[in-house]
Amino acid sequence: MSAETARTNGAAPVLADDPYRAVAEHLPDAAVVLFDRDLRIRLATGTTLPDPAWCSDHGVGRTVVDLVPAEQADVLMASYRAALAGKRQHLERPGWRDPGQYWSVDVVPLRGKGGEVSGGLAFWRDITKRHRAEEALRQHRRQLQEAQRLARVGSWEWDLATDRVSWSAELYRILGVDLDVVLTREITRELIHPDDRAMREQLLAGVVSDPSPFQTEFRAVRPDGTVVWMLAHTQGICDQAGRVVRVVGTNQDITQAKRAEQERQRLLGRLYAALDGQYQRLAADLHDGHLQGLAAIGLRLDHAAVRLDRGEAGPVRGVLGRLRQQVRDELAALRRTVAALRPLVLDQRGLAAAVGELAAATRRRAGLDACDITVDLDGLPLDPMVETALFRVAQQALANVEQHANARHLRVALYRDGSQVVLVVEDDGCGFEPTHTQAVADTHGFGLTCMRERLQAIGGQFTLRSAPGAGTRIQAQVAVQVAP
Amino acid sequence: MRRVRVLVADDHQALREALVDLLNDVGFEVVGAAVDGVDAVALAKELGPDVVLMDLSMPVLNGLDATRLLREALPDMPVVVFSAFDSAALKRQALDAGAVAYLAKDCTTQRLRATLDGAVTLAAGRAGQR
Repeated sequence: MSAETARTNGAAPVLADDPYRAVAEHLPDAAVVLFDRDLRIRLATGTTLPDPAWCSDHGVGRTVVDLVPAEQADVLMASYRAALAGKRQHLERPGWRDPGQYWSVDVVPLRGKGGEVSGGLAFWRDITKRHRAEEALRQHRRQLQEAQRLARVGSWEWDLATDRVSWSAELYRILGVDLDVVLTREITRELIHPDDRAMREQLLAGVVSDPSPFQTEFRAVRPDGTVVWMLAHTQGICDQAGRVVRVVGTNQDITQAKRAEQERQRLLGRLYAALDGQYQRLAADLHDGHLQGLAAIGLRLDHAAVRLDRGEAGPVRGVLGRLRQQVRDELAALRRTVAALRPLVLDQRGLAAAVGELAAATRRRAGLDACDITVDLDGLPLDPMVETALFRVAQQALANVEQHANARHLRVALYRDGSQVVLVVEDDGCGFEPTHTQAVADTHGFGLTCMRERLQAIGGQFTLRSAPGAGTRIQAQVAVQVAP
Repeated sequence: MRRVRVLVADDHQALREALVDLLNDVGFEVVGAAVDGVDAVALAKELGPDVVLMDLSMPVLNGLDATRLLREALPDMPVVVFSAFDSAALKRQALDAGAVAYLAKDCTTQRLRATLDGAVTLAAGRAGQR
C-alpha cells in the first residue's frame, strides 16, 4: 500500500509527528498510529495500513472503537488504554480486511516533557508472511509428531560440543519419560537395558570417528520397569571440516513385532518338537512294528519254500495259514499308523461327518444322556490344514469330555458363520477353574495348550469358558480358507 | 547227530514265532524264546544253548548290551545278532560287543542256517584251543 499522509484534525501534521512519519513511511509493511489521551487517532501513516480508512478524514480524530470490527476493538482498546497507563503492549492479531492477513502491534506510551503520558503510539507491522511461515512450520511439526506417533518412531539428537541431548515428544512417550525431564547423556544411558548398554554405547562412540549411518536393535527399560524393544537408525552429522558435531537418530518401538516374533519362534519350536515327536513315533512304529512284521512274513515264506523244496505240500498249508494271518495283522497295523498321520475319515467323508462321528462315539463311550450334534458346513471345501486342526481340536475336546467332564449332556456344533468356521464343544460336566488351566493341563493332560497352539498356527482363535460345577465350553474359530 | 540248540531273543511276537517254527523245521532245536535282553541273558544261563540268535532293538535291555553281558558271563556261547537293519555301523557295534556274526532279517534261510552252524563250529574251535 502506498504511503498516504493523514491530516491531524484537518490541519497540517505537527512537527513532533515527523520522526514517526519518517519511520513509518520508510519501513516496509509498517504503519504508525498516534493517539491522544482520549484514544482518538491523531496520525496514521505508513507504507501499509491495517485499514485505509484510518488515514482519511473519516479516520483521524475518531477512536479505535469506531474504526475496527467489534471483535478487534476490545483487545485493541485494552492495549491502547494500557499504553496510556504507561505500559508497553505487544499483540499479534489477524487483520480484518484481507483474509489471512496478520499484524503485530506494539503499543507504547508517549510522554510529554514533564514525563506525563500524553498519548500513545501503536506500531503496526504486517507479519502475514512470517505468520504463514510459522503456521506452516507448526503444521509440519504437528504432521511430524503425528507421523512419529503413528509409526511409533521417536527422533533424537546429541550435540557433541555441548553434550546435550534432545528428543522428540514421541521418544519421551515411547520411553515413558515425562516431557519436563531435562535430558542428559547419563539419563539416556541409564534407560538402555543393562545387557545392551555396552554394545549401544560402543556403537554411539564409534559414530564420532565414522559418521556413516547404521541400524541396530536394543532394549530400553522404562522408568516403570517395562522393557521396550527399539530399532535404531543412527548417523553422525559433520561440519564443513568433516568433523562429527552431532549424532542424530530415530528409535522405533518394535516391541509388538518382537513379541510376535518371539511367539512365532516359540510356536515354531513347539511345532518342530511335535514334528520330531511324530517322526520318532513313526520311526518306532515302522521299526518295531512294520519292519518286524514284514521280516516275519519273509520268514514264513522261506519256511513255506523249505517245505515245498522237501515236497511236503501238506505241511505247507499250515505255514500259509499262519502267513495269511500275519499279513492281515500287518495290514491292520499299517492302517493304524496311517490313521495316526492324518485321519482317513477326513479324506473319505469330510470334516463335518468326521466330527459328527466323533461326537456320536463320545456319547456312546461316555454313556451321556443326550448329545446335540449340529454339523453343517454346507459342502464348504476347507484347506486340509484347517480341516486337520479342527478335527484334532474336536478329538481332544471330546476326549476331555469323555475322560474328565463327568457330563450328562454334550453339545457339538460345527458351522460356517460368515467368513469363519466355528467349532463348539460344550458339556454340563464338572468344569474347572480356567485360571488353573495350565496347572490342570499339566496335571491331567487336557491338551488345552495344544488346542490353542494348533489354532494359533493356522491363524485361528481358541476360547475356553469353564467354572467348577458349571461345565466347559470350548470354541475354535478359523477364517475360511477354501481349498485351491 | 545232535541238533544245534538255539535260543531266540526277539520282542516281536509274530517274528519270534515264525523264527521258532522255521528253525525247528530246518534241523535246529529252539530251546527257548526270550522277549527282551534281560530275558535273553537269563534264559541263556538257564538253558545253555549252543548259540543265541539276538535281536538288537528290544525293551528293558537292548541286544547290544545283552550280548556284552553274555560275552562276560558265558564267553564260549556264540551270539549271532539278527537285525531289521542291514547297516555296516550296526554290524561293527555288534561285533565290538562280542557277537560272532551279524545277520539282516531278510537274509535267506540258507544263510541263516549256515551262520548259526558256523557260529557253533567257531565257538567249539575256540573252546578247544583253551
